[in-house]
Amino acid sequence: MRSPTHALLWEIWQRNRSVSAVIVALTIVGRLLEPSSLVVMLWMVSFLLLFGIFTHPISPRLFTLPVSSLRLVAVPLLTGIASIEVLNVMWFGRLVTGPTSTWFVAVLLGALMVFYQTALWMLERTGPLKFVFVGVMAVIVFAIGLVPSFPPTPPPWWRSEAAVAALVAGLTAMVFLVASRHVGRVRCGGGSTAPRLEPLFAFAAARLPRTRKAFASPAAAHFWFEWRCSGLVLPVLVAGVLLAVIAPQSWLARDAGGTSFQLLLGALATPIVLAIPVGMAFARPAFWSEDLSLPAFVAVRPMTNEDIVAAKIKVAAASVAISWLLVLSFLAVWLLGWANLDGVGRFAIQVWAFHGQSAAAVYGIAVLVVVGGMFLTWRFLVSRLCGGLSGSRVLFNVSVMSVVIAAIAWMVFDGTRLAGWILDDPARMTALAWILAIAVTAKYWLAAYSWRRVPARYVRQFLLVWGAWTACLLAVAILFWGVVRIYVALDVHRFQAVMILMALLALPAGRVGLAASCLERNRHR
Amino acid sequence: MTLRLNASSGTPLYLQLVERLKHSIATGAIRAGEQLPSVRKMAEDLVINPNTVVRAYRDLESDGIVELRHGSGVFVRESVSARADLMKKAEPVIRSAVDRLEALDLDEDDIRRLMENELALRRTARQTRKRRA
Amino acid sequence: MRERHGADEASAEPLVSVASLSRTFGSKKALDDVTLAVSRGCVFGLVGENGAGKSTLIKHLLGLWRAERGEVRVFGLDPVLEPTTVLGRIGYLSEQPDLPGWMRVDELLRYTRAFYPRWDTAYATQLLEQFGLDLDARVKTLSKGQRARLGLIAAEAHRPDLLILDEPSSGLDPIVRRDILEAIIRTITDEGRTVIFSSHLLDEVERVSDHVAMLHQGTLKLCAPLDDIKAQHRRIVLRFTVPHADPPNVPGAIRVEGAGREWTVICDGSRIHVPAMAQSLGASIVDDCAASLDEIFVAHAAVN
Repeated sequence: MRSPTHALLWEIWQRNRSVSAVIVALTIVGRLLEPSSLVVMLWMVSFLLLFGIFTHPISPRLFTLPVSSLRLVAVPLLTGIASIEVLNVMWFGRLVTGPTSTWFVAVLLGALMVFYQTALWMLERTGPLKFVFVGVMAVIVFAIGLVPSFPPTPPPWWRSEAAVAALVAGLTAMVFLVASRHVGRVRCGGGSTAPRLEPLFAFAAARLPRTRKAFASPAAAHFWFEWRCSGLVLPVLVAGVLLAVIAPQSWLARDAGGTSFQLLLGALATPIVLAIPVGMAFARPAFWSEDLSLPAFVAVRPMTNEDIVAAKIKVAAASVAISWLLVLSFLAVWLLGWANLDGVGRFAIQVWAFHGQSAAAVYGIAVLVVVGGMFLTWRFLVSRLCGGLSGSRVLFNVSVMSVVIAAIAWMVFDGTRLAGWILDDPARMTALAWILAIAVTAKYWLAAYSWRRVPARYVRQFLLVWGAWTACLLAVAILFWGVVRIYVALDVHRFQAVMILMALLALPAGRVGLAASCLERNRHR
Repeated sequence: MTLRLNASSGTPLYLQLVERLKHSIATGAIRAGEQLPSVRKMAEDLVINPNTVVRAYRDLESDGIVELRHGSGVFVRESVSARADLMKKAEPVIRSAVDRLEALDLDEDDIRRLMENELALRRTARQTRKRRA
Repeated sequence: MRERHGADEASAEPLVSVASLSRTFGSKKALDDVTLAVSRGCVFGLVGENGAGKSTLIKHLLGLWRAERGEVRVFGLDPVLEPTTVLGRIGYLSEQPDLPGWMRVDELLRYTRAFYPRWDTAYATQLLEQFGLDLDARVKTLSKGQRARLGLIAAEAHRPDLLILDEPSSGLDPIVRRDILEAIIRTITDEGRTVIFSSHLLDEVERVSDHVAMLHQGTLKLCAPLDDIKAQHRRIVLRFTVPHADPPNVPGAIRVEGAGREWTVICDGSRIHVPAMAQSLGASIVDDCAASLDEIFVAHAAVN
């Protein structure tokens, strides 16, 4: 090794030889094939793998080497920037490019790499949550990238590509210095920012009113425990996305009705989409730990497995309620404040006209959409419970990967085309209706079987939820098919049947009942 | 009562306790007619199993030093002072035995070893008899 | 269930009974055909070296491990099939009490209290004052000893019928260890309550146990009242006239070790007439006393 830099570079290379080979292979294959959705998928995977390489923290054993902190920070960051630019260049021209110029994309990618690594280093202590922060940050960078192409085009000077690129480059330089300072401080044992913040939090926390009353029942006590562990994660994330992404875009789109409508749908979709990754962590017996075994602290309490599962489900429900409260208050402020209601108005008029010119139908649909959204959010939080609580890493990973693969496949292979392909041919619709009918039957058989050992009071509570959910989703399905019919010429009755069946399939009845048995296998290994 | 018992020395805990109590009684720290601490209190203070305390008290009772009064507790017998006289009478017996052993050119450690060996043999024999009975 | 409970008290059934319990983890046999019974009102000490299977056995009693082969009954019930009934009467303190770091002391006690109807608040407060724990402190700021004390309060305050301590003293200073031993004695002097505790600090076990079970590599080497064990094992130091290179063959000895002329023998003193044995070997007795639990344990552990 000729110099410390050489040694550090060699270490990064040694650690990631196989992954680098895979990335190069994917890039070569991508260049050889014709542009298609498969190529897009390869592109995404290669970029994800590259980010995966640079997910490594600066290990503390490097701190005792005679190397400056600036160098320790600069080597991974500059290597990251270099590799991502190289990858970008290699994929250049293989993908359909939008209105944004390539050099702008290059600047954004470099900045993203720097922000990504710094965020991971600085948020070490938050554990798995740091990836969620990083995800939100990536969305923010993506949104910044969209700013120049926002209507009206061409953008004014302060919103042009050059200006945004300069701003981003400046931020990158600042973040670089922050990273170097942070690593320097961590090297000296923590530094002064930690003490400065901790007493503040402790002071604030001590001032909050805290009740010292006893819990009414073991179920209430465990609900409190699960709530303190994981209840506020979804609301915080939803608030973060609303404030950081939707609110600024809503301000910029205050003249565009169509974009406003899309942002409204986006705001409504935020809790649902965020519930998917949060649900994967929620499924684990301990939210914040990688370990899938039930912690002894909980396992030794005189509680049945059904009590534990019920507490988790109730915490999910409370979490969903608070998140939606945040969304609705934001929507209230936005819609009554600076929103452009053209697009919303057009849609509302169509619905009003279709349903016999009754305003009640419009408001009814709005309420049903919100309630349906709440149910869907809750469903995504709770649906991985069976895999996670079972304690089997294989089952959990399969459960998680199935969602990830489905999401990637939908994006890459353009899922909306699938819907069109099915709706074209009535025979395919019939086949789909049969498949769904069998699935619904199997699902409810499984639900009935898995609920055989659950105590009566939980069954009663869940039946209430079940009934309300089914009624709501059926109402949405029935109310919407009529509107959709205007746009698509198809066999009405079969389509109605398909929508009703899909609504019935959405409820996680079987999985919830099985969760208690899965937990039993985990608690008594 | 501040007594410290050593669990890992060769002597069983209950014997150590018996010895300490006998010493306290003989020196007058606990007077005749006084009540000894309850089994529970003794066990908690010394951090030993209550059964050990029970055994020690039973040993003292069989030696005639204390008496167990049902419902009231463990009391030192009034006749303990008679013990003190007995001890005084035994002193010359020991003195002459040790003199004779020293005349055989045995040192202090040897004498102690012989004494302990003899007492141990007698104890084992007593236990065997108790078990057979 | 209430009837079974009543029958359990009336018939003087053992509180905990383990029959032919075996458990394998991969290729390693953690427990091999272990059978023991713990009766009500005793202090049951479980000793063994690290990895002997003590924690595994205790986890079987709590239902955290399912019995692969054999049977486990606590209060006459299977802890896997009826966790609520069994665990409601057990207090458990483990080696590393995995108390959530974010909880405060009073929150932890409030949470634990909700599960046990027999929780004695006055007793818990008295213990808190005695141990000097700050109600508002978060668990992650407490030292290891304080955490152990807090875990002890949470386990003890509801006056459980069975107190299970799994190597509670490991890595703790003597003051905390004494607190734990005092808790054990306090529990046992309360009518009808039982303590099972595992430790590799044998002098502690010797102090407070009635019964001792010794596990070595998953097998039960000894299980008897402590008095019997102590009576059956004597440590005899023999001095030979002729130095031996190998341990002399002492009939009926469990373990012989030493060097040259002096050899220490651990044997069953109640069955062997020691002076006769010494004479037949041509040696003199240098020392003859009760073996400490440490020596007994080492002697049995070495025999395979």
